[in-house]
Amino acid sequence: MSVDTQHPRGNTVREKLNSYALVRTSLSSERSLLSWMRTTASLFAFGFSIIKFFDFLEGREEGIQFSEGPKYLGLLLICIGALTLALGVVGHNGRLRIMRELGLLSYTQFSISVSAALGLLAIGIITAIGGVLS
Amino acid sequence: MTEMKSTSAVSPDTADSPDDSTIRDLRLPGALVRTALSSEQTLMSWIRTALSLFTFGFSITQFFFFLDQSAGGMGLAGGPRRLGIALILMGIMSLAFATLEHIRRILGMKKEGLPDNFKYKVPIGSAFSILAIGIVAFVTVLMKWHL
Repeated sequence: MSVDTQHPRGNTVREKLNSYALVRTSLSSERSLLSWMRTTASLFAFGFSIIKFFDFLEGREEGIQFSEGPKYLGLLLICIGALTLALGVVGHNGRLRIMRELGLLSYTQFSISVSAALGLLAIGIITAIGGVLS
Repeated sequence: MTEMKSTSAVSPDTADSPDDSTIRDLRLPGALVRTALSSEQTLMSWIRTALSLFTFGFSITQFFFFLDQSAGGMGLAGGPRRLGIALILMGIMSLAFATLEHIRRILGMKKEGLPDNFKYKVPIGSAFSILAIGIVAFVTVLMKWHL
């Protein structure tokens, strides 16, 4: 959501202060979502690497067969990442909805942070499906 | 008791000293600076996020490429490369849009009364530098330039 900082709601100083307090709170909420995205990205990367690394070790030498444990661990990490990111997006959206009701102004409904989070979620789901199929 | 309260609880708004007329009302400029700093922290958070996406994307691609090469090319590097490209591309796009949005917020606040001496160029410059690094990483992975 592209927050409007040029046209604070109201004309009095007190009303403008309220507007900017809401802008700061929405930015703080966005930073929390970004923290979730970083956490999720590292979970995806570790999960995917574990799955692929053991695939590679099995493929490199004939006759080596690992248990399914590492694969399940990798998938679990990816799923935990996807779940926490989804919950983060839901929480951020809820906070934004409340702030809009309280008077937060924006230029567009399109939110870069929510779109990026959903993109990361899609990458994670595709990765998990690829991990199951491999 | 009530008398004590009424004499001790003097709020700054009702204080009536002879110098009051010379004191500037800094509440709105203060709020604007706090909001601009908050926007800057958000941009720096975007930089960290994009940087971790670049790092993971690039490392996964290169690690599995070298692993594949060391084993004589089993064709296992395709999946990691696709994941790497997706992660780096998402980092580039989100950092670019977030930087533009930050610039828009700062310009909006400048029109609304953000003090002129507010320094806002350093984080924007850092964001563009990280963006350039991301673009180099993306081209490297896309063109298979394994340095």
